[in-house]
Amino acid sequence: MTRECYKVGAASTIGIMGRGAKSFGSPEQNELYTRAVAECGRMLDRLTAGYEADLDKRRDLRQDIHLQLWRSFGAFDGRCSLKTWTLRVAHNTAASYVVRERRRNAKLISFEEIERTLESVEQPRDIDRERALREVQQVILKLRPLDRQIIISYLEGMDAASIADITGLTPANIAMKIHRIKKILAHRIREEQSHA
Amino acid sequence: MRELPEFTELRAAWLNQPEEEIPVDIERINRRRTWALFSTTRSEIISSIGAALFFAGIMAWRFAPERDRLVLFGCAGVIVWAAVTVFRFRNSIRRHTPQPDALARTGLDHYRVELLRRRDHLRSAWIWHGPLLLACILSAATLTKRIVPGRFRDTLPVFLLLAGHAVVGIKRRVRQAAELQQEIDEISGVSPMEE
Repeated sequence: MTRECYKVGAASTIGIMGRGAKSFGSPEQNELYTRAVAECGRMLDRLTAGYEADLDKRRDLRQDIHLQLWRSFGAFDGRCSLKTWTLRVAHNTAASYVVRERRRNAKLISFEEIERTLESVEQPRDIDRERALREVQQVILKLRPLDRQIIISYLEGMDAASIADITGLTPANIAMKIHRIKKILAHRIREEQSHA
Repeated sequence: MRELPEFTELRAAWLNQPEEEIPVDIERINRRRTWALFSTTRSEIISSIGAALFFAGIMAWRFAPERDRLVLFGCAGVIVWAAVTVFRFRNSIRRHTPQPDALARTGLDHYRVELLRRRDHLRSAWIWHGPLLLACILSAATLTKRIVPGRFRDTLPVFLLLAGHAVVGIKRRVRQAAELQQEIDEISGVSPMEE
């Protein structure tokens, strides 16, 4: 996977590094955070989009993910890779957010529940990327946090073993769920294209 | 595994989402007002207890000078129950910062813990909603006892509304707790990965 360049705003650098260097945060912690953001920053943005549709709330969630990520590196013990650690913290922060927001949200569903409602639709000729993305985001936002972790990681191009490392499910379980994801997404895209 | 063209397209669309223009500003977190979003449990308890004490305070202010036993004991009951609730849920009310590595657990472990915490909070709704319900009953009983034409009838809608709100709130939370339990059972059935 290509290493992505990610710009962390000056304000955050001041907030974490500048002030933090005096009052809190070790140089190692700051360095780990910088590395994680350089490696996974854009991925974290996309991940956040999978947990919150409202733009303002999404920004808040994004800030919170970065704060929790920076805090977590104070206890980084190398039990897993930097990327896995980063994604675990990000997904878990977002999952906690979903649980807190749950009383305002509609009922969340699982892959299995979506799968049961699928009807057959013909294969489309062309894929409209933008529409397909919107459709996928809508599907993701309805899902339970664990299923979101899987679908987002799948879209990020991660393999079953890496997803298993983040979620704690078995690779076999992940493979089964990915199979369901493909079925659901294919159906949604076909449906979307047939309506277009 | 070979990907179908539609998935390749879809993945490309996902990966090429427009970049967020606003930079990450951690300091903003300390200033923002939306911190309440992150403390659902605490705000639910505090607002319920606050409403109950407000209600009891009004009752005490209006009727305590009459030395009515019902009012005195009733208000005392509300205050004691509220105090017990605050003590019982002191950990939920206090703003606490999680351990730095608490979020580095696997998604399955973390989600289960979050669901259990929320379920337990919802299941104990009768405890932290109790003072408000008691305050409503006390107010209704006090006014019913008094033979002041029109007073009870005039205030009845308010009491009914408050009592209804409390009862509906408890029922809604019990239902949500049952939904969470169902989800906990479902994810507990999934075999976790061996570390």
